[in-house]
Amino acid sequence: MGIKDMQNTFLETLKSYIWTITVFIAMLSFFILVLFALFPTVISTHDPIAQDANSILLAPSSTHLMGTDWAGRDIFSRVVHGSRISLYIGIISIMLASIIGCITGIFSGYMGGYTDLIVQRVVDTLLGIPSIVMALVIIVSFGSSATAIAIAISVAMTPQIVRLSRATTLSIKTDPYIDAVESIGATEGRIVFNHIMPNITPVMLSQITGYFGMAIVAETTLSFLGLGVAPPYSSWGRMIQEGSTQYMETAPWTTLFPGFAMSITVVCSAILGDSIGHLLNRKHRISKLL
Amino acid sequence: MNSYIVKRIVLFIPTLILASLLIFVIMRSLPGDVVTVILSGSGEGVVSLEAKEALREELGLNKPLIKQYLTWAQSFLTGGFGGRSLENREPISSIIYRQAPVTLLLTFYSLVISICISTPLGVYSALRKGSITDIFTRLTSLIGLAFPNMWMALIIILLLLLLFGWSPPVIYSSPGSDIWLHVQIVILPALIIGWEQSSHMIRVVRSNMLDILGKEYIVTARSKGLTEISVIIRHAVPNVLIPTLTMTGLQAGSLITGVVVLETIFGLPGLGRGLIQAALVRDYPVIQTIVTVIIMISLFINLLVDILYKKADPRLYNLD
Repeated sequence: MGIKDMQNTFLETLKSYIWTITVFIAMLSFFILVLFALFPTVISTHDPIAQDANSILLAPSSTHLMGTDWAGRDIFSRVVHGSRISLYIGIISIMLASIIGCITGIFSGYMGGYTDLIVQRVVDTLLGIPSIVMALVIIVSFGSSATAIAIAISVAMTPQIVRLSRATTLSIKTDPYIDAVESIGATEGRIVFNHIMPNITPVMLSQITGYFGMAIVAETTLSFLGLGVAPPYSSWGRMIQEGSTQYMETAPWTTLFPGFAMSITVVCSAILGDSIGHLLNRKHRISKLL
Repeated sequence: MNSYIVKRIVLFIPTLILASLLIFVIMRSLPGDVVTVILSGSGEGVVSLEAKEALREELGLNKPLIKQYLTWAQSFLTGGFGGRSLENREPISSIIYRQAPVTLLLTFYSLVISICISTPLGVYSALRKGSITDIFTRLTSLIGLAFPNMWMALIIILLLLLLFGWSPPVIYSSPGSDIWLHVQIVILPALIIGWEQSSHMIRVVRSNMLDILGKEYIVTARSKGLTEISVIIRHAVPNVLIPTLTMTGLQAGSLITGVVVLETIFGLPGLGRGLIQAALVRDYPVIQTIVTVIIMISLFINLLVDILYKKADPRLYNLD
């Protein structure tokens, strides 16, 4: 083994260590976020909606970890409480989208023929509708409760998941073991539930973890635009909006901290999705199919 | 070739009809009475029965759904764009004529910027794998992925303000009246959307380029004695254009989403900001028309990509 090879081996090992540490940090941050959402009252230092005229727009300090906003509300506590809405909407929308999307995708991919053709035309049409426009139309029609927003985001995401699960199903359908199962006379239900579903799950899991971050971005963007969950609940998007319209210059912390909370969530979900993908060698095949 | 284009255009129409019908049905399936929601939203307090009846008549809500759609579609197609705004009675057609050029220009700029950034950078970072440029490119594209456009826009505005004391002009100016002012106000949103879009595209271009550089025909081209430049320009890059185009088509929706959000942040008087404002006051006819126009733009980009795709990939010539 020459010096060059040793160098390469060393670099490879270093890379994999860095990757492991990154994934670990991502998991840790995610865990903290879940803790935030589960026990907001225990973790937050102040009441997130209590206004305090004596502490308006204070810079971050030991009493107010992330400073205070225009009404004297503690930003740290608001970020902690805001994680609840973001996670709730993220989880509900991703669950709805993946259940409906996967079922439609598997059905369409497995059946083929005219069913597939029709489903694909509808999916193409839906993909042509920009996600924010779709979400906006649903929110305008059904109100801006947290559940309505979750449904709106899931409708905007479903076509992408249909596309992905269909492509994955198609790649599995041609595998020899499916032929084998067919030749021993397995029913279609058995093939789909016992053979296609388990093989699709890991691939879908990796992508859906990534989509989770996108759902949170969508929620933040919607509440930033004023279409999110109504006050007095704190949500990251509205905190960013409130901070950025007037206090960007004088009190940047009102905007920056909720923004970073969102960025960290997005990056973590992307890293976790990627790491699930790394564990699977199928990923490469799928990305080529799309 | 021409029959392919005709086929794509013919397919474009049912897609548009399906999309507009879908939006129409969602908008009309409001729980409860639409008229009450609209009138109570406008803050008039107690609503008289006559006012309700008049609005119902104007919106044509007392007719069957399919007839409502046909009436709306007819008005849309004949240039009326679906009546008047509920908020200030302005004809929707004039709203569209005023706002659409802004959105179209911003979309066009962003598209051009994202393609012009991602293709050369992706190709270059594949050629110089592991170099400083490669690492820098990948890092910037990672930042583009981690920071959603509205968040990125806010940070950039803040940084420019703190570092240079410069903030983009507030009043929009069309390229016809004052081109310099136009550039000043449009450059930031276009660059930010371009950055976001090219973050995805650079990765695709780079990995495809790496794939292609390992292909036999590149080895053949090199062994023929071609210069490195002509190997790359003549043999490698044209093949990279195809995945780039595919990505552009797939990302048309997210591009438009970016345009809608950034128009709102930068105060550009385009369809996106118009849509958000209409949504906040629940101005249903305006929302419906703007949404349809935005979907048209998005589908049109897809159509364009499909046609260019055919040009870029001669193998598709023989498919018809």
